[in-house]
Amino acid sequence: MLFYRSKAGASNLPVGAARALSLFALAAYPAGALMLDLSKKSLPASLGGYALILAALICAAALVKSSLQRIVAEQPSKLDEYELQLRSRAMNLAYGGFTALALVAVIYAAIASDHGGWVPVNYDQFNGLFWGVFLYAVVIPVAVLSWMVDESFETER
Amino acid sequence: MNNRLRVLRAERAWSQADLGAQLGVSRQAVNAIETGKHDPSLPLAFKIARLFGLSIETIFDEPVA
Repeated sequence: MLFYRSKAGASNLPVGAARALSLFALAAYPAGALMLDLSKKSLPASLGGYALILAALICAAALVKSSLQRIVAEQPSKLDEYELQLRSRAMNLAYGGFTALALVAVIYAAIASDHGGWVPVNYDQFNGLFWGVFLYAVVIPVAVLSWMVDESFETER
Repeated sequence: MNNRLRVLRAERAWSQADLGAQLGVSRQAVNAIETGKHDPSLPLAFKIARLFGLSIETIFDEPVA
């Protein structure tokens, strides 16, 4: 599931910034969610968890309007042949990465539930997991694409 | 694939965006063709050749192994 605000126009986010924002969003959300879950009502840890989650969402929001996100999320009829080729390669890789992560998560859950490891059990934990999967589905394709292009993608040389 | 697109564009003092607009593709597509990262489709190659008034073979050639 991908989002792009077509009417707003794409922003020329530098490729380096897109790479940093996407990696940060992918790392900060699970870190924040885990910190929040393990904080056990400790206020500083809870605040840290919320801050990381908020930072991840801000990074993802900055990516949603970028020209890289336009390539992975715009209607195919509005893309040219080069953009369609990039989109196809990025989505192929992202699909592989996403399914690999899902497989690892399922295997982990199967093992952890048998051996007393951490698995989501209550509403808050499943809610956090749901939005994490949602965030990853949006950010992974643009993260992959940002590593497939170089700086000349945004600036003429 | 090697090509003379950058030279031909520079001779006309067009930016990549100018050329992209005339071809109906993005500036990024022009950049990718110029740098050899993308081989244009046959319809786009014909469009480019027509725009510069040259044959496709004059603009594009296979890299020598």
